[in-house]
Amino acid sequence: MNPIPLHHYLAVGAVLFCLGMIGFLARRNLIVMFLSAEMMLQAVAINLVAFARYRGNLVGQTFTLFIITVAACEAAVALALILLLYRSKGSLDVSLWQDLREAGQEPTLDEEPLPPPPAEAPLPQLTPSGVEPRRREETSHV
Amino acid sequence: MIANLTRFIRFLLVDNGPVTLVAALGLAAVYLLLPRPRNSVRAGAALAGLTLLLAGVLIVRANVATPEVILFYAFSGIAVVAGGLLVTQSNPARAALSFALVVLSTCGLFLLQAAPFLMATTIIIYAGAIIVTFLFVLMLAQQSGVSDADRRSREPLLAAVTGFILLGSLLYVLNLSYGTDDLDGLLATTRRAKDAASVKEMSDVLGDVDEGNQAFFTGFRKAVLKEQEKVDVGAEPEVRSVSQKLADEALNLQSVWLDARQKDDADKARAVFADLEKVALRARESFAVLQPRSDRPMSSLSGPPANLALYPSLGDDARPAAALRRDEATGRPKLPAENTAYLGRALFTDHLLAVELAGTLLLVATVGAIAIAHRRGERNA
Amino acid sequence: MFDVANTLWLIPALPLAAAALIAFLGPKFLGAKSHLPCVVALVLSCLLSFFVLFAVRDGEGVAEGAKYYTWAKVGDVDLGFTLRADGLSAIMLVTVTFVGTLIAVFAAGYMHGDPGTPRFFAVVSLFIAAMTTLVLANNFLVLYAGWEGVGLCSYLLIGFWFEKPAAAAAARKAFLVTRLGDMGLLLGIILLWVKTGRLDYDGVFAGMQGADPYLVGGACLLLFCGAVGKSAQFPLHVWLPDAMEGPTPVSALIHAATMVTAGVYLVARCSALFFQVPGVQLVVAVIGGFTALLGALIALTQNDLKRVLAYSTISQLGYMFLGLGSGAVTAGVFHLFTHAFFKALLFLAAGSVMHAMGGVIDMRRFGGLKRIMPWTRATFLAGALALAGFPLLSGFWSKDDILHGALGRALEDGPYATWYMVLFVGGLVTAALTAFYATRAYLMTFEGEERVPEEAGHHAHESPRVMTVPLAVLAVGAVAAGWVEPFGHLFGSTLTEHTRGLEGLHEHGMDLNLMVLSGLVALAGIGGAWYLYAVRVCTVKKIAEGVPLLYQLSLNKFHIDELYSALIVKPLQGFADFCRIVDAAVIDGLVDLVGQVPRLFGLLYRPVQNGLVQFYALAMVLSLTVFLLVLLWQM
Repeated sequence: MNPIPLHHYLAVGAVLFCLGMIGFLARRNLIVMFLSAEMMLQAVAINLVAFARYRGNLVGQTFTLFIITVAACEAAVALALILLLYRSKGSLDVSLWQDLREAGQEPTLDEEPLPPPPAEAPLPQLTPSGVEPRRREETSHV
Repeated sequence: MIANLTRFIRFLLVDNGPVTLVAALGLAAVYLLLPRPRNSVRAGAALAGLTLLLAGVLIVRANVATPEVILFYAFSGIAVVAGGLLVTQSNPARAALSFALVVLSTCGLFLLQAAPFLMATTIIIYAGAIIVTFLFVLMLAQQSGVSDADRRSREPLLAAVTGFILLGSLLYVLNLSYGTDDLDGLLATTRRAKDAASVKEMSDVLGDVDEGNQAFFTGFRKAVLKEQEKVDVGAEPEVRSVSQKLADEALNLQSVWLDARQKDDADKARAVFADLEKVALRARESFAVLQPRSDRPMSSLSGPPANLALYPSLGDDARPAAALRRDEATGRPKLPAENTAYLGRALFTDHLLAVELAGTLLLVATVGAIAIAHRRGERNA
Repeated sequence: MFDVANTLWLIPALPLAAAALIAFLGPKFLGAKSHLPCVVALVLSCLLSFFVLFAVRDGEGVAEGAKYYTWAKVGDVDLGFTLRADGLSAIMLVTVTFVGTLIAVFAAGYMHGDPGTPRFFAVVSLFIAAMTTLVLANNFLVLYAGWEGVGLCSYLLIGFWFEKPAAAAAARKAFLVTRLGDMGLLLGIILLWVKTGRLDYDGVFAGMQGADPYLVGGACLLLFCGAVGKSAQFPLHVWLPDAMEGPTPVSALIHAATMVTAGVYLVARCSALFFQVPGVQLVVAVIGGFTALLGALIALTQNDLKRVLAYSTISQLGYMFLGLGSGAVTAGVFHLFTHAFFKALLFLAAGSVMHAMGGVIDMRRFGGLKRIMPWTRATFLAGALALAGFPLLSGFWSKDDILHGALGRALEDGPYATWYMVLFVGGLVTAALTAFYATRAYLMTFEGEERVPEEAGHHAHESPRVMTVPLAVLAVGAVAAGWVEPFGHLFGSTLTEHTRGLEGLHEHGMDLNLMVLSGLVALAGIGGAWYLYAVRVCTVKKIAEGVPLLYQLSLNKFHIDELYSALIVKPLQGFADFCRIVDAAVIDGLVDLVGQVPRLFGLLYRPVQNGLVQFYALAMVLSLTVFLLVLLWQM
């Protein structure tokens, strides 16, 4: 006997769904948004499969199969669209697309400056010893 | 207005304290972790850990540690943590890997729910195809690693608040529908009554003395029948029978208890409460349980019902081939292969039109994706 | 042999069908032949009308209320398309269709080559349909429909050359001024309906019998108000002279022979009401007599031939009302009948002159046309003499009848005898003046030194046959139409014996003395004009300079137009300007204010539309969450 009752699966589905939604709403990278949406679909799939088991028939599983199909279609089309968007702006930032705003409305820009990226660790260098040998002038043979 | 507000606060903190607490902590953790120019990852991580711990304490109540239980908590824990990482991770490539982890643990959950075909499909399609394609696009588009946009979020606070209010509502509803608090309370009362010294004390424990402890028994039957109310929608008499049987038993015990109270027979009363405790435990165990009953039929088209002795009138020779590939003891199809067979049967009988449509959809999506991503300028050049 | 009640509807229906035919097919298919359906329909209508007249005269064909169609039936009120054939209708019918047919034939020549010919004939057909409906109506509603129909056609035809600003303005003026009268008519009809609950003539007249005289008087005055507007009587006469901007056949048909007599017809038709209130009768007579004198005075000095005729028409219509007001309904309708012939003839002859003179109508610019246009000259002379009341011609008989009626009323021992005596004298003066200006117009146009304006070019010749033949027929009518009455009482008997409401009419006998008197007056007028305009031409100027005030007043039509402009139009314009300012400043301001409120709200919410798709998604999910919370709270 499976001692994990139905609503535990449902709770896991709910948590994943809400996390995915937060990701979709908050993250600005198109790919991450898309991944979040896929995670929401996964959450729904968990729920459906749990219900299928609870009711003892295969409708939920069948439905999940269709969800996977649609997700695959969605992925294909969405990735193509993302590529298209990337080509025209050179970035995956979704906030670059604000052309739908009201005429005369100022565009929304990032105001808070980012902290400087951490300095790259310097490459190890040997202490020079002796006189540096003279280099030959490089010449092009082309 | 103020009365409403206090009611609301009571509702949040007192009646549904655990849910509110977990949701609020999760909110704070996710808000702190979401990428921003100045975020505090350490505090966020600490909060997230606290949240998980708390949720574990509040949720995990199983008193037996079977492999299934351990696997469930492991898979769902990994899924939730990986989901959180996916949302809060600023590097999109790492987010994609987190998503792979989510998918894998989800597949584990599928397996736990006796859906091996779906598990395989999900792994192949998601982990094998979709995520890889995503990574390809990422490689194409974002070769310099984390971009500026990845280090910022759009309205992190509002998004987190929205998400966790939704989560709180969902958990509340789940608790409302599937929570066993009422049954647990009745169980405790029953045990206290069993331990009481005299019949009078027992009656006092149960309360509502003048009416013959009617309220306790009514509540008991109602709690037992709770499952039935939910499943009743499907109009499956077999499901009804279990909780109905338990409720009838409770009714019987009530009359026995009334009899014992009249005669002031403490031993007989104690026996009644011992039986009642058993009934309550059985009700709690059978509540929202995922194991299908052996006599529950599948759909009319997608194969024979789960019980084997389906066509006794036709004799052994007339059994369909599908019926033969069954576990003799339980009468259920053997896993995992049989799941695939029956899923296929269901797809091509009950859902044939949907399958055709899905196929068409895939074709159209393929054509569409090619048409969209195609560079028009290049062919001419 | 011929059932009146069953064929009556054909008389308006035929021209209506012709109108529809020309309107839909004319511009594309008929073109220059557009007059054919109109003429054919009118000839058929005319024949039918004659049949009706003969049948009515015999007393067999009187049909009082041939009902063809019910528009609406509300309670007791039965609104039906009901026609009526009796003496009055039949005489009007014959006049309208006969003159109308001749004028249509004339117009076929006159309008030749005009690009708007199909439109012209379509409207003329429509006009005849409306006019016959008006005349044949058996209830006030159908009458009103015909009344408005002829008003519309009048508007369309006056403004036929709508590209000419003067024509457009004249059409508008005619429409608005007659509208003023029509309002009175409508109110009168409503009053009668409220009082009696009926709309058909017999019911109304029976219901009003013996009613409160003030009520009857009020109703009569309201009806007369409509007649004043349509028949261009004194306060509302200003539209008719301007209506001469339309084509001349239109002036002949609508503004001389038929439509303007609708008012006379209405008063004659409602005689049963008018006879109940002698005071209102006096009002009718006074307004008629005054208009007759005023029109004649103005016509004396006008130089525009068509305007002379227009004022003459006003004057003669006033004469008819004088007759009606004097109780001589037969005389009034008789004058209407003869007037239709000779005035149509005069207008058509004037049109013929205008046609030849290249559109010039100012009598000072041409003269002595008798050699160039012998037919026109002869017919015009016949018409002018008939108008002047030359003894034995048609105008003489009918005018004499009216004077006879007025005199009879003056000599009676009635309450207003003195008034009627004054009116009789005024009528005599008017007759003299009429004779004078009719002769003057003839002399200035056809006699004297031959002069032709340059605009005429090579067109200065007699009009084609299609125009002269109707002239000749009408000339015969102008000479002879009057004879039906004195020689055999054909007219009076048909009218009084076969028209309900007119049976008890007092029949005046012939008064030889009066005939001699009026004949002498007419001859005096003719002789005076002859003397001044043919024998001693130079004296005219001297007379004009001798009484400059009177001459200027007459020449400027007594400044009535200017008076109306100053008293009514200008104040109204000022009020309209005031309203415009109020509208622009106050009302528009308020509306703008209301419009600003959503704008302000929009400004407030505008930042929400920031174009960020994620923001929109967030808003959607947030509101969904709020909704979910409310739902949970309700649980």
